[in-house]
Amino acid sequence: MASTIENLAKMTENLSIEPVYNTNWCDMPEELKRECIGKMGFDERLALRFTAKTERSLVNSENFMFHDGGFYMHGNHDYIPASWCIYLTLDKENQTKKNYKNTNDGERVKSDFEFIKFIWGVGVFETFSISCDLSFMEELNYTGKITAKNVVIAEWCRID
Amino acid sequence: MSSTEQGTSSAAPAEPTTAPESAAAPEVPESFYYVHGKDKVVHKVSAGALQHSALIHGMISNLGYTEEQAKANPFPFENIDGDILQMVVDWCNQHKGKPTPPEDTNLPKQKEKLFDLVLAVNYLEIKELLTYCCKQVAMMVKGKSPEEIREIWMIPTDAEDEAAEKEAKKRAGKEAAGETAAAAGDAK
Repeated sequence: MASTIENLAKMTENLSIEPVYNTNWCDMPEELKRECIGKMGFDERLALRFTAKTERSLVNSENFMFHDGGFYMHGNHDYIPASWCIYLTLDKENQTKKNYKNTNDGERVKSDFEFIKFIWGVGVFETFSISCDLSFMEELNYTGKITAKNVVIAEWCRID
Repeated sequence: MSSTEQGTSSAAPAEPTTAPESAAAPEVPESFYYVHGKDKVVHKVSAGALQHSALIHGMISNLGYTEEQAKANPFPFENIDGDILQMVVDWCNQHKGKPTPPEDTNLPKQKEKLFDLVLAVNYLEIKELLTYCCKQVAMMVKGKSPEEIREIWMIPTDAEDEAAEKEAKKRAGKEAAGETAAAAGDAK
């Protein structure tokens, strides 16, 4: 009996020497999470956005440098459901490109719009090209800024 | 030095030579400080290595300890695990007086250790090491799906979060009610 207790005492002693790690992402303060997000690539940020609300708002608040980006709408938003696409070039050297199109799914319009707002909100573009009409912009209701060194607006674009 | 080398050096055009460092300034003996973490194991670290930590560097500048005083009063970092502090000390020693390279591959790969290291490094204000650590954290989720990230970093879903919040509120309400009842009982 005594030896069992002694063994147990020894075991607990050894256990207490081994550090216990309970720290994880959720235990990190916001500022450090931001610092880590700042080091993430675009795909990782997109994935992290879909994990939870808190993570989404953190990713939404961290800028991302794009070499260039474009938003192009095809068709007239007043009369027919317009289709649109976003073109992004992540870095100039590797010319890593990403293209996103709208889903043409009425139920997903809200999430599509949210995605456009996310890209425009976090993006810091070397060149940003835009081609869409006023009614689309009104429906999108984007009130933020677009940060770009150069902006190219299509001639037919009725945006003031 | 071999004779060939001697020959070459004498044939080379005379270049302005700088005086050896020792001749220019007498070598100042390096001062050492002592730190310990949660495990109370004391680490002896040179002032040069500790310069990486803005927090410790500030403490040293303010205290003006002599070597004896420093030995008698190790800086206590009770909030940092012993082996994490060891890692930090090793990194500071390795990079003492050297420009930090753009990548550091010697950081721990285990997520729990890495997060502890991030917290410690942030506390000790070691900017370069914090950059490496954050890069390493970012690398953990490279190419991973939202579901995989949630699993790796144990991120609760919004539903789980809400349920936990509700539970916490319920518990707090019950505790508050219990306290009120106890206070009323005491008053009687």
